[in-house]
Amino acid sequence: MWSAIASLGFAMISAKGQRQAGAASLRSARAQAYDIGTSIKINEAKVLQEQGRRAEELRTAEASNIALFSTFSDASSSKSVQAFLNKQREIAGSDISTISFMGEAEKYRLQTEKRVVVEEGYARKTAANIGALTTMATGIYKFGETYSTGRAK
Amino acid sequence: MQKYRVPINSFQFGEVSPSTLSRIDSPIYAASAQRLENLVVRAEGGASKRSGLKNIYDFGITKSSSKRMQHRLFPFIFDDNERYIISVEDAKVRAFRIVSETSVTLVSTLTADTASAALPFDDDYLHQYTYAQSGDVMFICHPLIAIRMLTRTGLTSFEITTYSFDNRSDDKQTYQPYSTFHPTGMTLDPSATSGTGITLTTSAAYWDTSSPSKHIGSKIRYGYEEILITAVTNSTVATGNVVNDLTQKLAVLNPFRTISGSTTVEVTMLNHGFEGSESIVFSDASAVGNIATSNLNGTRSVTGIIDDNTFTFTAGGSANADADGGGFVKIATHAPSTNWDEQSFSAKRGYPAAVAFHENRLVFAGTTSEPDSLWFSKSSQFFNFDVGDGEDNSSINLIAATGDVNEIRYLVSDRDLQIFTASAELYVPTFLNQAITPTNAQIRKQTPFGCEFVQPTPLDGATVFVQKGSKVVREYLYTDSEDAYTSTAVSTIASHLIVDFKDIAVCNGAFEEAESYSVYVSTNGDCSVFGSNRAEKRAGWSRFTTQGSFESIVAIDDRLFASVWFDDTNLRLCEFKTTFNLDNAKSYTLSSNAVSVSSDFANSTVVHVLATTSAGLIDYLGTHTVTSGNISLASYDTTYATAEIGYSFPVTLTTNPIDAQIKTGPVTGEPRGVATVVVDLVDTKSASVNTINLISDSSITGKKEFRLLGYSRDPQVTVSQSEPLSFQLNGLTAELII
Repeated sequence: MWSAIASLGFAMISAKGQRQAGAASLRSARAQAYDIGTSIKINEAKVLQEQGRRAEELRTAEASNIALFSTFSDASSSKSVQAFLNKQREIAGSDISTISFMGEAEKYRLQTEKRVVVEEGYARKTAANIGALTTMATGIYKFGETYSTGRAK
Repeated sequence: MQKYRVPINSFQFGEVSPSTLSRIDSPIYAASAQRLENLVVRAEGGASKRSGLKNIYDFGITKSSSKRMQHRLFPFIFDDNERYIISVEDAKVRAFRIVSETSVTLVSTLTADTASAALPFDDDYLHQYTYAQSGDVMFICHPLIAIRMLTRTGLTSFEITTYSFDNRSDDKQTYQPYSTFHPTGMTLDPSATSGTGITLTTSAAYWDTSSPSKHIGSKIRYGYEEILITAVTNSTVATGNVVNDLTQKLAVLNPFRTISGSTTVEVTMLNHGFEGSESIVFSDASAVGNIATSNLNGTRSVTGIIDDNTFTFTAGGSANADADGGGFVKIATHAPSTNWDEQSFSAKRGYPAAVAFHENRLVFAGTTSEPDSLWFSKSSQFFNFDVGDGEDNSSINLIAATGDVNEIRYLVSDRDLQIFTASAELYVPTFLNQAITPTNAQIRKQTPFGCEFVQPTPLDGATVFVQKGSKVVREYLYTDSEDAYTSTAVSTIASHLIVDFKDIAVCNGAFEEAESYSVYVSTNGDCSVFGSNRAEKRAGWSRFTTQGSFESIVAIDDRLFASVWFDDTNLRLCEFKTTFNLDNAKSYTLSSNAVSVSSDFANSTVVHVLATTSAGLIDYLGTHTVTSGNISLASYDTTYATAEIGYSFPVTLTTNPIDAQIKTGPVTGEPRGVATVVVDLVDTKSASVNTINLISDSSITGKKEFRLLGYSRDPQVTVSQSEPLSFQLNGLTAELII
């Protein structure tokens, strides 16, 4: 009799523990998702910073090139120099565009990861609840079985 | 009375100016002469008679005193066996093939190009023409004519075509150079993006309004698309045909940048040339920032200019994010734009003045509108001047930035590309183990003298050129010590021989000498000859004269050819041949001591005759007059087999005044006499010293003494010839009586 009661008690404690673990997993997932959200913001900032750096690099390189070419000849009128400078602008423009594209891709990846993490948290909580319920059901079943067997004796 | 023996061991410094007569202190004084006429200064220091001029061809040109040059000779050398002399004349070109040592024949006469158009060569400007040859093709340039190509199509055939640039495979782009001629801010407003007969309106006067307009036939570029000008209405309106639709794919991938919550979109378009509010048509743009393609593509208006490469427009919807995108976007517009230019070479802008091959690129330079610009073709593509994206092998456009405009006249490809302008000498440096590219090409100004219209030519490691004004000849030489080019005058001691030169030839090994000589043709009809040997620090001048006037000169390897106006009426192509002692000369085979010369000399012409017996003995028979087209030697008992008939030319060597240093100082200006002169001769058949003739039946090699009379304050010795035969003088020793 007492053993059946104790077994039921343990099942209740175990179920509670499982529920608490599930809730903790969800909290953890939310925390992780928050971190990912922060990473998304950092990524956006990095993209802007990288774009700015590339644009500044172009401006600096172009200024240096113009200064250098101007010592060679009348660079401002030279079509070949202009063609070269245009090509550098084109490359830089494409680089900036690529940086943006890569940033967007990273953003989508992080957003997806964030969503997955949260979903996993919920899934783990649900699984814990189900586990707790199963534990309780098992405990009750065993209690009932033990109790009825005891009375029969 | 004192006697001094004064040796003159050599004439290595050549003929010197009368202005140097007092420079008895200079070592040049003892090794030079007051006159070296028709003599060549030999490497050893002596002087020998120049070769006679063998008559090759009568051009049949009538002389005009108002023309600086009526034809010019250019060399055309394909290989050792296929060498030609090109005669460029007024609207005509003749090509002579050097068949052998003794045979030069006319192989081609051209008066029209392959399009049956008359040749544009103008004898008012022949002296300014420049040329460059590679393989079978010679490029001929002048600012007033489109570049012409003289092409050897066979061993004895040539043709002339107008140089044309390569085209893109669809013929919608011509790989020619373009330049911006309009002032900053001037816009071009085409009336449509495609079609023919569109109007082209500029914001200020631009188009050539002469009749017919020189702009007709030229191409302009709006953005990067070509429009062919077909008519000019007035100074601001022209008509043209769009070669390629005025639609361009933007160079930058994903040129759009959206702003979250805004309909404004930034566009990156290099050198867009817009001023604001222009109408543009986008196509092929993909969605960006959640703005649908339909809200991007289509007709839009420029709403703002951020910088030269960025503008904004208003999309049909708002973005919900800051994003870059759009993919490869095309833009079509005919809005007024400052981003347009015009072909660099045209009747309006002029054509290149100079041409050269350098580092396997064809280089043009100096048009009327851009006198200080150079254009290099793409590497090994001589008809492609597309600057592309400025890659290493792309065409190069280089403009001198020296603070003033230097009108380029000549290019010389040597260790560097040397540039000779009307006001300075410059160069494009070549780097060790590195090609000239669009990003390292540079022009450096070196010396400030300027170049006359005489082709600068390499000689003895330097490039000799005539300074503007035609008073000085200089050599442009790179000196390691200064790490720069210098232009040292080489004519200072013979400045009297620098008389308005109009042509030059440099001959390595001419006159059967080991030396190199540059021969300049002067407008006075004489030639000035400069020999240089830098290693031995020896350089000297002499002069060539003839019974007529030299017109042009050309060297083909070690052979020297000249065109000469004999008697001011017959322009003849001649060659300096050591086997001839006369000018305008030919060797005739006699028959019964008579020969017809009617094809070469008019009746009553007085000619000199050097007759040769069948045994090889040569007799100078003096002058004869052409009668009935014949020269008759019937009055001579000897029977001659052949005769060299032509004009004699003077051979004169006059020393500087014989001077000496005695105990009381120099005898300069003192009355003194030359008692005897001992001359050192080599294989000489005729010589006279101060009119006293050498008498000998055979050629003389060795020393001969002449006794002279008379006193003078400037006693000189003149060695000359009474008969047109061989002559070489190594040196002389004069006995001076004071």
